[in-house]
Amino acid sequence: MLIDLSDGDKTKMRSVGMNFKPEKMGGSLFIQNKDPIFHMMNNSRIEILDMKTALNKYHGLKKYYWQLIDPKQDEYTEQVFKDFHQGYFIRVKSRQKVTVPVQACLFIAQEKLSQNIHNIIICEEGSELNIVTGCLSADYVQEALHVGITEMYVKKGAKLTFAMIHHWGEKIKVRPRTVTRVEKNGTFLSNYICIKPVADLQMSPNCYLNGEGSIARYNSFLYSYPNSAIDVGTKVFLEGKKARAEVVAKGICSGGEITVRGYMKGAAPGVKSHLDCKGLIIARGGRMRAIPELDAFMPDLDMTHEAAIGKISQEQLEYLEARGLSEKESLSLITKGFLDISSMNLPFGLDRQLFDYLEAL
Amino acid sequence: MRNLLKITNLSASCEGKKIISGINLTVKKGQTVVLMGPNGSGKTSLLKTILGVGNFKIITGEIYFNNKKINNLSITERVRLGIALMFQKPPKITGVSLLSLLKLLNHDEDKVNKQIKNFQAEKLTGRDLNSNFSGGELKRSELLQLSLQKARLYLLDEPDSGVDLENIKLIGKQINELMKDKQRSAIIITHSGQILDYVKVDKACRMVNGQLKDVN
Repeated sequence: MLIDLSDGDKTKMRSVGMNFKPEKMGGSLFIQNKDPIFHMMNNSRIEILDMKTALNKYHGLKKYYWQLIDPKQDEYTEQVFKDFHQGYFIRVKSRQKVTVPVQACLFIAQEKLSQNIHNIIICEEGSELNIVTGCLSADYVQEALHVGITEMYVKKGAKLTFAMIHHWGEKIKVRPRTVTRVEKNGTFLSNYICIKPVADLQMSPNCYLNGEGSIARYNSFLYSYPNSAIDVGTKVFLEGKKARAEVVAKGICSGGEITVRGYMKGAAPGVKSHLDCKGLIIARGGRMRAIPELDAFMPDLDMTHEAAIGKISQEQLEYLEARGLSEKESLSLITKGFLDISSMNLPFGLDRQLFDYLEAL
Repeated sequence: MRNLLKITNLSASCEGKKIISGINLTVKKGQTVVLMGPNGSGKTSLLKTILGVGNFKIITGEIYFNNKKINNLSITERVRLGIALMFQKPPKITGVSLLSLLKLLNHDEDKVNKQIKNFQAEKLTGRDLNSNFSGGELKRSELLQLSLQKARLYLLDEPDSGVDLENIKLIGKQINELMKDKQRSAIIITHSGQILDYVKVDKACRMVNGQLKDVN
């Protein structure tokens, strides 16, 4: 139960957007280590279950389970396939628009645990859903591995807004594996934030814009520290006529390594996409790479990319200091501006919380 | 009247090149000093050296503010003593709106709103700092920021350059507003002298080749 969580754990959960007034949410599911510790469904238009229950109830979810991801694509994926622990199943019913967000929390509270998660999200035709996922480890956990498989289905005319916020520890290894399929006139909006220390994070969510007029937009905000290795890529396959995609990845490197990758495949007439990787290096000893790639197969499409890595300009710093801000305050304001979190339209003043983090960096 | 700023025998260089040389200047409390001179004569460099902005290295001389030597203080420390600089070419800062900075400069929301109105800056506050601002908008934004800093000495670098007549009038009015209680001082750089139609000055100096001439 949530009541059994320590104040420290709760505080950290709040930092990844979790709300401890679950009655105010569209629904909640908290998984600690391998088991659900809290479950609440507040709305008959949405179904939220732990994955094991969902597999039982829907006879193995054959249309959805392991349909977008090849279990053998890499060793981590295979690990979940062979030794599946838990996950969330969230489905919004056809034509139901639920604007109050649903929250899912994946929490590691056990030393050296390998948490093997499999999630499924289904937005039925014409529906609308907003999900906040918080993934974190307890402060007392030194070493652990989180592997999270997520298969998302955005059906005809549906809209899914998905925010994932990570808050791990300095020795935690993280391997999310996410694939989304968007049907005709469907929209998928993804916001990913990882601005707290992590040892080793590698992910490359894939999105298949299969349907005509389907849309995907990704925003990723990354912050690396000394000794951390972050490799985040986004792959979008524009396979439906007039599909559109925009991927924006912003990274701040204060040490360690950040690699931001982007791949877009244009394989249908009239598709339009833009890839934008921006980096800021604010300390010596770090490395940042931006690797955008466009792959076009049609004559009538429009695909662009932009990549830029820079440092904080002395001129900007001095300008703000000339207004009386300290060096630290100036740096914080410039990095906040660079990340421009307010552009993400995050729920519940989560942007406010993220500002506070950045201020404390 | 007491000296608020006293500069003695100040020489400074930038990237090894001497930019200003042997400057002696005093600004008394309540005094407005105008600084004229050709392009590249060192006017902006002098103002920046006073605040410690830019790559200017003091070679000789002292800067005293309110009888305290400030040569080695950081920019922020100098600002907190009461020096404020209006930049001639302020840098763009993406993702930071003018309003968010104004709120940091002054926590009194009513005062911030009042000043935004006074500077007719309602349309500027939501924009990224100094991005896509016209000449006049830049000057208004700069002066608006200064009006919310609790300064005793304003260093105004060309408040009238690239500004149309309408804006000069407003800027002149607002500079007078800043100075009205006679407790504050200013050094104003101007090329055209247009601002002098609106602002009363007590002293005029001319800079040539990094040296101060004709102090009147």
